[in-house]
Amino acid sequence: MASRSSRTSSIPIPASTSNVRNIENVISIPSSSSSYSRNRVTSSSSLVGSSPSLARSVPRSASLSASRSSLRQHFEPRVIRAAQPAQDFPCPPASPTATRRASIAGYPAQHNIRQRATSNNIVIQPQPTVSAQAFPRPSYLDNSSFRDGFITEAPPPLVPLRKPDPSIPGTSRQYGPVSTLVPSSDSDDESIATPPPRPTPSAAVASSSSQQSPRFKLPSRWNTEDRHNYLSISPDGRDLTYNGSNAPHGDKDGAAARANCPVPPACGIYYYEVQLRGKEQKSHVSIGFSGPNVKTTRLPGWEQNSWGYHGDDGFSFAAEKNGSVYSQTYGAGDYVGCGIDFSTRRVFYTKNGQFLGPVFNDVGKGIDLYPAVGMQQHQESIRANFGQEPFIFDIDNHVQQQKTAVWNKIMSTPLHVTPAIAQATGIPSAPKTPLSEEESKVMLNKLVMSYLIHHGYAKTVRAFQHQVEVNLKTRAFDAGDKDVEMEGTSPIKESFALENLEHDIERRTEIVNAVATGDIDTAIRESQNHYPTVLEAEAGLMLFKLRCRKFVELVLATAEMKKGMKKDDRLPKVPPQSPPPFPSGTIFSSRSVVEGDWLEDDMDMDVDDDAAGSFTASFNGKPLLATVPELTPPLRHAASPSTAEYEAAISAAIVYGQAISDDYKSDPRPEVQALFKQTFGILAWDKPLEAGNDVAAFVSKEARLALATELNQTILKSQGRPVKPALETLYRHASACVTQLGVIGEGSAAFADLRREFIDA
Amino acid sequence: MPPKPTIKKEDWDKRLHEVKITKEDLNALIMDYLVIEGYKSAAEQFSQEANLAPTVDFDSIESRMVIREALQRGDVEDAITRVNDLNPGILDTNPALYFRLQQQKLIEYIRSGRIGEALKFAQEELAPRGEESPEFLSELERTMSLLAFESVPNAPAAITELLSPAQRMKTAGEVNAAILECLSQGKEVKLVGLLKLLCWGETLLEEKADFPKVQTQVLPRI
Repeated sequence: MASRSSRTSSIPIPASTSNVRNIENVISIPSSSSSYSRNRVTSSSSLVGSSPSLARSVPRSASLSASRSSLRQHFEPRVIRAAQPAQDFPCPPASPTATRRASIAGYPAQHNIRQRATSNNIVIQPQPTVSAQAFPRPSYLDNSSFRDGFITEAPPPLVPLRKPDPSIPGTSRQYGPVSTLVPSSDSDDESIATPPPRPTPSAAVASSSSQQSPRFKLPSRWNTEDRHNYLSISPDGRDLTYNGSNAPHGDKDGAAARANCPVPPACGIYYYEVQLRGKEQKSHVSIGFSGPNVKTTRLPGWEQNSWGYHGDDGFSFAAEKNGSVYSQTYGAGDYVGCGIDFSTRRVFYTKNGQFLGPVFNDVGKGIDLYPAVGMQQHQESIRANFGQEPFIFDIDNHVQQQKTAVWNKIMSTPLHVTPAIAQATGIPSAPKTPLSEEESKVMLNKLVMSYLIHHGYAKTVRAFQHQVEVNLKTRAFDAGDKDVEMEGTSPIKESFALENLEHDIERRTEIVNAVATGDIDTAIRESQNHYPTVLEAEAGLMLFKLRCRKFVELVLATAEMKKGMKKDDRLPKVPPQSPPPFPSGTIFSSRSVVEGDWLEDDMDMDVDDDAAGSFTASFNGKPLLATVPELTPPLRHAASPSTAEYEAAISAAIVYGQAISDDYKSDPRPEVQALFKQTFGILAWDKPLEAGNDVAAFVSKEARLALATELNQTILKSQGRPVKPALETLYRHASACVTQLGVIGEGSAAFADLRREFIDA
Repeated sequence: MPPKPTIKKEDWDKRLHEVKITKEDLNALIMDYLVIEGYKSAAEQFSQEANLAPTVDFDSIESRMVIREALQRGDVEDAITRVNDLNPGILDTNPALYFRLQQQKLIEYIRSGRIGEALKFAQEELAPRGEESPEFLSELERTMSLLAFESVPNAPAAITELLSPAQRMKTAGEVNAAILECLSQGKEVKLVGLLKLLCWGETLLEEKADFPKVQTQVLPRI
């Protein structure tokens, strides 16, 4: 596929994904995300007319240059990310010579064609609008689970690469420095993609892009570089005209052309139509598919790796000289459709909207397959529709039927314990043995239970547990001894040792909530009481991270105080409980000193009172407000803090930071030192939350949530539990299997649309 | 055929992490399971704790569960009455389901040794139905042969399985699905579909490519 993309790259608009990525890479990456978040802040403050936050966010100490350079370092991963998706191009590369040839050809070649065509007195359509136009994805391809990955000639829009996904709250989130400290994350993260386990830091940033689905290029025109000399191609690439000898046709005069790129099996079903424009009622034309190296002097179907349906006799040809009886003849004015079903590896044809039935077997296994047409009659001409226009045949309906058939087949797969299921659930793997209904139920209950426990849905756990037990007892009672025996021999048993589990969930949830709301002291204290090993693990790494966050909270509180002081000089005080009239917290209200509150005001442009609800939904053992933040003394003042108080708060923060420094300064681990540096670095900023770039991300609510997630996972891990709920792991496996199958050419994967079937349905 | 491709561990891990799935998505899958499988109080709690709007009337879960429990303890008559109370159309429009329930009733007669009643019921109620379709007939014959094997210790599994709790669960499951359909709710548990898809995909992928084997790390039981 790499070669194909370079071929299109010679067309004026950059067409291939890899090129586009490179372009973004070169031009805009360093500024894209940072300028975005900075703009947000700037616009918000200029809106209010207060002093520009950019100016105030200027570092106040000599550490300016240091933090700048560290910023730059943090951007490098993004650059690497941009280059990466090129690997995602799934099609196997064609021969290297093709690549080279193609890269020289392209646009100039089109001029040649036009000249040649003109010399042959072929009517040329107006040029400007027809050359290599992109067209929208044909609607029948909406049925493929890879639909978002299909591209025609046009470059994929540049904007979405950078535009944050509107469905994610807090779109300015950046994973840079934060995620390098988070070993792994999961759906607790509330974000769409989770940071992957990273061999390099670059991979960490990659996941924040939503452009990760594999890309598949669709055929869109006949290839000027891959056709017989006798065939001329119209400027829009869709017409083929035979200009060979006037002599009676013979095998020698066969002339074929292939489309500009192979058909991606991820289509599931691919379909194109051809209109016969010659005068013959029984055209000497063959329509079908062929592999990349089949001679263009031969009609599709005569040679190995080619398949064709001939108009003169209505025969089908699969690497054969005489063909087999297939269907009607076709000719002047007819529309012949040609499709391949990659889930069955069979081809089908249509004529003037009528289905002619499947033909051939094992088509195109192991090779790239190109739409191909051959002809051998003077002045024969065809026009292809690769999806530029509506099709004559109702292909949408046909694909839907096939999709349903494939889906039903998949859904009739017996449940068994695959290696992935075994790993996620701890049930011994048994790939060949279908599970009984009873065993399936036990497995499902286990999955559900572990999910509920993971996220700390304590009451649901209790209710579910109770009902499962009641059901079990009822069944055991009804079935008598025999059943109990059966249960005993089954490898999957239904028993939950929930004695202490409930308390555990509540404790864990309380701790996680405390971190999520910025109450680090409580989190540390309770962890020490209940999960001492968690804080001690990895030579106190978790404790270190929590203390660093505590420092961040202290510094943020001082920033908030300062803001209050400044406002107080100029603006009338706002009653404490009224919401700030402007979103970015430019007007001080005493409420906003309370930890947890300032974040809402400062971080969310669309402030609303529900914003805190996401916490409540996340960790539900206790309501959000049950954890009262422990405030350091200077912060308790509701009204405008004095300069003295502000300075006291600053010193308190610094003293706390120095204590961390004393404890960890000799720690040799680079990650510890890096985090420490970053933590102290925020002192350089007047308003860390509004400082663009990584600083804002580092101190953000999201980072705090990520820390809460990490703590949850570390606690679970210390108890020998997986860091991700088994259910999530299994979903990821299922989805990855489908993607991988699609990429390696298994057509039925296109119809295994788990997101549409299980999530969006 | 090209050689079987090998998928590198890094690539595979990358794929796994590129999957878009949120906690909300998974919560919805869990809720679907709790509702369809009839865990009413768990569904109610979950709706509160996970802040999910209820997708169904939780009371309808209850009535389905009462019917299911009746079938699981062998009280087929009670189940039939309750299904008809809920909606008489369910059994009227679904002869196969009604036959299944009657067959279950026959099984329960035989299980409890009420042979006379079993024969009477079979002759009066089931035999006419057996004439309706060959499928019903063969099921009827299978059930009747329970009588022949009653005292034989090693009766064929195909026959004795009719007496197993799995048979009750199967019948209960079919009734549950029919009610759900009539309430125009999804009847297939999405979680089950997801696992089936995984079984399909993982098996197929193993055939087509060498992909990183998961470590056989057995985690402690939940």
